[in-house]
Amino acid sequence: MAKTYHLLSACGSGIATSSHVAASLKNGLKERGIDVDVRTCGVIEINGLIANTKPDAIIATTTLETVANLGDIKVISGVPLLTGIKKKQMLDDLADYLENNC
Amino acid sequence: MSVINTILGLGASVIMPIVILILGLVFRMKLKNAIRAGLTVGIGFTGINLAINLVGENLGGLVAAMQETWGLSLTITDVGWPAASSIAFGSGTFVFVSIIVYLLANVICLLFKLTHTLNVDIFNYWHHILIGTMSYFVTGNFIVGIISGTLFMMINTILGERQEQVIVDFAGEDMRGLTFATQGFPAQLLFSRGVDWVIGRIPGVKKISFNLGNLPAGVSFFGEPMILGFLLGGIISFIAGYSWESAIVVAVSLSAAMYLLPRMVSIMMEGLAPLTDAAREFMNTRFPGRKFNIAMDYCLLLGDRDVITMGIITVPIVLGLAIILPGNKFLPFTDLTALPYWMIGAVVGTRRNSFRGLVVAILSLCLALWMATDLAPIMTQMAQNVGFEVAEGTIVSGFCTGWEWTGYVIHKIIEFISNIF
Repeated sequence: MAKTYHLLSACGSGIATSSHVAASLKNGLKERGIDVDVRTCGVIEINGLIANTKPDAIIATTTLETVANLGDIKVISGVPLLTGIKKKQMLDDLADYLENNC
Repeated sequence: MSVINTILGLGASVIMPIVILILGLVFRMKLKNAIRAGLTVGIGFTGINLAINLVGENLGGLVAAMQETWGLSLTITDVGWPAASSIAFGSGTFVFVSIIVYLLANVICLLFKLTHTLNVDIFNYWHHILIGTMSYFVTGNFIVGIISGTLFMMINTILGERQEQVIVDFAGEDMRGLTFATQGFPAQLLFSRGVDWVIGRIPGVKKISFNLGNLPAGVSFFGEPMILGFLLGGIISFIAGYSWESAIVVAVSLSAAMYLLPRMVSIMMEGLAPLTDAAREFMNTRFPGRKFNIAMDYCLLLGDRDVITMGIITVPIVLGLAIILPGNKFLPFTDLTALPYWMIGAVVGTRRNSFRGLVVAILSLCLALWMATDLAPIMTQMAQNVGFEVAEGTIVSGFCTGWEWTGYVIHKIIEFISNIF
């Protein structure tokens, strides 16, 4: 039974890079047999979203130092998906994490 | 021939999908994916159009009412950067040629080692295309327009990569290998560092140093686009003399516009993402083994606490400046939530000294207000040209146009030269 994981794609504005990252995440994880839904957001909105949607992981392209309630949610950098450098590795690691920890 | 002309006349929501489709195929995307990318961009553009009408109907009325009730000469409606980006992407042939020329220019500069940055940040080409289109309109010359945009794009790339160390010092080694060449950021960073240097030479003043630290917890709530839109919409309606029922309608509509606009751009970005990836891989296979810097959107720097703080406190500052600054006719509204972007240069260049950061911020805001005012007439023309409905007698612009500094200078030089001949 396929499980759908919930991811949060966060960037500074919630518009530009978070959308690019979200698209790359969906496609990249689908290739690895993992189904995800990705919510894009800006740093300012994260506090509320964590409380409401309880994501399995957060993929961020900017620092989350201003977010108070991260707790122990896994945060990974989404920059590899933008630059292409180590993209494959990042997706493999993320797929691995989701299957084993969530 | 006449079929092509008909298509070009149908407006951006038809042209953009075709442009993206062709580009996608050029970069070896699969046909299915290229079609999806093209249509998604077209859908995003259509969505922006819908949301902009929300802004135009409500903000336009507010601006006019403020003029009548208070005699304020803030006559320009701020349609925001999402709208500006779709205006930029709106004129088919010009966009298509621009993108190809920018990529070629990047390749040529890489070959001649004028740059070591791969700039396939296609979404952000809109800034350069915007300025290029202005030069095209003002001179009537297509080629001059293309050259204008290309100069902006390459100067930005080179100026951006030269300041890589400044960014790494500020944000850490994660930013190594990245070039931030978006909008006016390279110029703004340089300006900020310059002001920082000057202040450092003024006896007494150079010792002032404080950091604003954390904003009180509840404040970021007011920075959320939907809240800001609702509150400001309501307050300004009230000041403009609206009845309370009309004020609430305006408040909710503007809240909707501020929330929806970024979502529509998100859709556009979804469409562009595979194209950008394809372009980057295409370029990588043509330059095997070379190590490039990659051009990135500077929103990667937006999470920084000091940047966000500066972005929020400049909201009331810029509104106050807009009213008192002589020569300014621009009322920032839709782009108020984009202020953090434009404060990145101020915070980085002054190395987190909030006093100097504020000085840079206020100077920059004044410059931006003047530039946005100056570019408003031509922006309005361009908006109508791509099919946005602009009410009779209204002038529109985006606050974002006041931040394309390098491009502004290039465009003004071109305008000046063309006026002589």
